[in-house]
Amino acid sequence: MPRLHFRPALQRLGQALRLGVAANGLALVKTSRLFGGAPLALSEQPLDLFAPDALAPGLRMLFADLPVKGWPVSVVLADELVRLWQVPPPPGATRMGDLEAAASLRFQHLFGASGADWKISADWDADHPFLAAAAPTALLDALAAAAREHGFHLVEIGPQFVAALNAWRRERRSGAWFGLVHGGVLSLAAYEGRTLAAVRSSPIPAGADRDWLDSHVAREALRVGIARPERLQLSGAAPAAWGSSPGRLKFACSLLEQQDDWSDLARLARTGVHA
Amino acid sequence: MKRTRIDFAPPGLRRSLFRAPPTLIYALPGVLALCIPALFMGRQYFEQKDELRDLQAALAARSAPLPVVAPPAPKIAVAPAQAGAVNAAILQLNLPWRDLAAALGEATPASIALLALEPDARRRTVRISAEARSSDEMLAYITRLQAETWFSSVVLLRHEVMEQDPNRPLRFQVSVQWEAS
Repeated sequence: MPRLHFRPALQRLGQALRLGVAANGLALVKTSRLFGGAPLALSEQPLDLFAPDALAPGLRMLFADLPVKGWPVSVVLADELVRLWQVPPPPGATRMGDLEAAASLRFQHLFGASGADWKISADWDADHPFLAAAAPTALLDALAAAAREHGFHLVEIGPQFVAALNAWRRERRSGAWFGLVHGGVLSLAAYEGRTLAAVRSSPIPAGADRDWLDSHVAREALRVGIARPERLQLSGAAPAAWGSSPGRLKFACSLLEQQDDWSDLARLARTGVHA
Repeated sequence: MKRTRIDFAPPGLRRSLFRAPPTLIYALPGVLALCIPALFMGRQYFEQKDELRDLQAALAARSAPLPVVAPPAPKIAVAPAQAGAVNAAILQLNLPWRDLAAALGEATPASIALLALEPDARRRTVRISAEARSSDEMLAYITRLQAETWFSSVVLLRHEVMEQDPNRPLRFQVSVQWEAS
């Protein structure tokens, strides 16, 4: 397993760490934003995040041999730990409070939980439907406490799907749907033109082929009530058989990433940077 | 497509720096290339400003009217004799005439005829020449003068009977000293 070297601040200019937090483990990846270096998997730590107070000892073991003090750390939260939903802005919204109230009401309506234990962050937009995410307050507090304990700086905490959306935003085409395949789950952002219509996740059955993908996308389009896309762009470890040109098929599917030998946890931490 | 801004990280300086696009570092030489000449030009500007202020101050000092200086009073040499005379005259002028006249008027009865008053300011004395009908009147007058609080001493200098005068009055001189005020 590679080790982090103690380097003067100047030499690690542009370098950062990415911490992947999933229900079944943690992973740490070093990235270089400035000089185009490839990301480097540093360590992994399996754990059961739903056990009480599991995160702090897990992080201690993850950072056991790594002096992370002073490093900027981006945290990628696995999609099973967060809630993602789409919020239509209320008509005549004039203040930030209106949007926040709309997001919180829709959260309660969709997930049935009170917003007290969740922190909501969203890509606020008063004119168009926008994407909102909620993360458990206990998890965010535990991360902040770990940052204080180990001396690193929390510069970003976001869901994996949002990290993938942002990482591939330059490759994304207008009108195309965007999908992320991770841990046997396909998350889809359905777009109508440039407007986000819905975000949906569903497990991928064993042996799912291109036909399953076609029918799945058709079903989701019907469920959301929009036309089927002309193109689907998939990131993550999608099966190579899904990639195709339109031809006889109903829509084109382009794979933004190739499958490689990275583990699921390391891949989670790497989401958001190009391999 | 635009960036989706969803972030649960607590706000802070490191987060803001991290969010800045990394390509900004390539703009650093350009920023320095602008800043360094700006620094020098700024210094030059402030030096020129100081110089201009000094020049303006010098100009203002030159064109301002000269301050009016009162010429020193010429020294006048005074001879000691002259000074003494002047001091004597001042003493004479400073004689308490009003008090003296009031005290004398109060002490002099109608039977006494005042002939002359010769004040001497330096000694604070006045020599009174007067006539009385008899020596009793004269003595009574001197007693009244002594009773006056304003006078400290009363001395009879001389007296004589004027034989030429058919009424034979008694002419006398009294020296009276007054209290220093």
